[in-house]
Amino acid sequence: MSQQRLESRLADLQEETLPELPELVHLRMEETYRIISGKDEASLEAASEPQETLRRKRIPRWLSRVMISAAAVAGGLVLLISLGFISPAMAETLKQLPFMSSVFQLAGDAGLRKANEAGLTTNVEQTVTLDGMTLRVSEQMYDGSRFSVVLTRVQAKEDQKKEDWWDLLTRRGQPAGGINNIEFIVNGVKVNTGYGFARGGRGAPDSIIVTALDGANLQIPDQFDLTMLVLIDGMDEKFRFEFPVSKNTLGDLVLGPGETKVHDHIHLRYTRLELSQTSTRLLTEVKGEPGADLKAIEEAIPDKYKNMGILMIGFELWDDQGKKAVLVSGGGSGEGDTFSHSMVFEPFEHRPKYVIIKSYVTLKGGDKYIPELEMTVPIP
Amino acid sequence: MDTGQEDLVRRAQAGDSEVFIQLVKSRERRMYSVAKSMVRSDEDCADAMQETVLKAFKAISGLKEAAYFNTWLFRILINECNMILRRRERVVVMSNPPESVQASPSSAEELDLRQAIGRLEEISGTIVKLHYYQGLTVQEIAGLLELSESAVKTRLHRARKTLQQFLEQPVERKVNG
Repeated sequence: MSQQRLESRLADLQEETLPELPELVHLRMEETYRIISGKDEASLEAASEPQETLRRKRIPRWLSRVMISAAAVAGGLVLLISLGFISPAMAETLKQLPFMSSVFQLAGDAGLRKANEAGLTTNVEQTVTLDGMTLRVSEQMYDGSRFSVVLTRVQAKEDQKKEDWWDLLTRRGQPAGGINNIEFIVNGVKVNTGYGFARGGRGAPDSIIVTALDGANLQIPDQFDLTMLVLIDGMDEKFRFEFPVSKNTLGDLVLGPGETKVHDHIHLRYTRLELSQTSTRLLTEVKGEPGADLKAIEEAIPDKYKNMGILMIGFELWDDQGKKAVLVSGGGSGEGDTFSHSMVFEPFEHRPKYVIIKSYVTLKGGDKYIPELEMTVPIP
Repeated sequence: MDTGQEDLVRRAQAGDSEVFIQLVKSRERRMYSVAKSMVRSDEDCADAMQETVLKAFKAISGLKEAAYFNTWLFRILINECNMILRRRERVVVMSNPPESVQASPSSAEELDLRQAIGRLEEISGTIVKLHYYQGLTVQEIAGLLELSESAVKTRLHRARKTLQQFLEQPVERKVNG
């Protein structure tokens, strides 16, 4: 087929006038407007509705729960959620409602709150029970920089019921009922990723937010099947959750790699800087002289940068307004001739004209910047 | 967007749900047109549009520039459509989904072309649909999907090449549909 012919056939496909809404779609939109106006209380009760063949009750579950509680609490709960404010009394009420408002919104970092507001999150709602303990995976988000998901202990074993899950998890001594390990398997292949927990907050004391897949050198496709295996201390069998994940982002910008800066035998460059409305991720590499392996790199670096002989280097990100980005998660690894670091920060409020990467080392007396390695990255 | 519209957006942001509904209603047909070009079935269009409007209602106070309401709204819609398509990819096994026949193409050729477009990778498919079905310019598409214009042009160019290849290998068609 010739180029011209294809082009003219493609051109023929264009709609001249906007189509009228078919009845099915029209009715659904009317239903949606009624929900928004708060006039559609009837649709919240399953039973007595006359079923028209074309019409399906398809209120998303999370919203119907929100509308029920809005009626009960006599306030715009939908608005409350987007304000991100929750009073202790409200928290008590929320605790009793299943599938309640988003934990991302209540307790997540700024990027997760933004993702929830912008509709970039997905509700997985998978529940697994093993031996008297029930875990649930609910809201998740993946923006290419990190994967975050809400994990809730819905049901504790008899002897673990008295403690909130967050308290148990953070208690020393690896108590039974805590998380021993979480494995992430992408498209059937185990991924070498770290992960971190954040608490679900006062409104969700049995929920945590797990963040992973943010490390350097991970090749994660934009869409994949994820398996999460959660191993609980004191249990042999792992909780298994399987669901599809898609990269959802409202605009992302990827920069890098940058030029290498050298000072005192530290060869530093950033390999990737990702800016989206839900995360900022920075990947860096530290190398030595060509051919130097990790041991040689560390040995060549002067002692003044090291803590007990170990180089503990970290990176901060500052915007053009003099604001430091808030760290969400970070990790590093060394392999062959390179130390790689990956950091995920809360997103910038406004896209800055440039960012400054500040390196620092952790020493006995505190953290110390290395100004000679400071880098300014212009943002197009 | 004219200032009258911008005012309405700001009122909607302030919490006026009736104004919000007004804003969305006036864009219903365009939303349907975009959704239809992406997901094909009316049932999926209804799902995508409902989710979009509910999510937009929940998130509108976070919209920074009232003037970009359209871009923002349609971005959410495109996202919803793509999520439906991705879920569907897992479910549909072998036979052609009935929707592609329901569209009553004028000829078998057009059906092949639409199927070929459906086989493009997500972003390129979206760009092709927005450009050829909706008549959006490269600049408009770039704004909507937050890509550079050159990225859009490159993808369009490559997509056309891919489509040519797809169409050069005739698709085996089932006799009984």
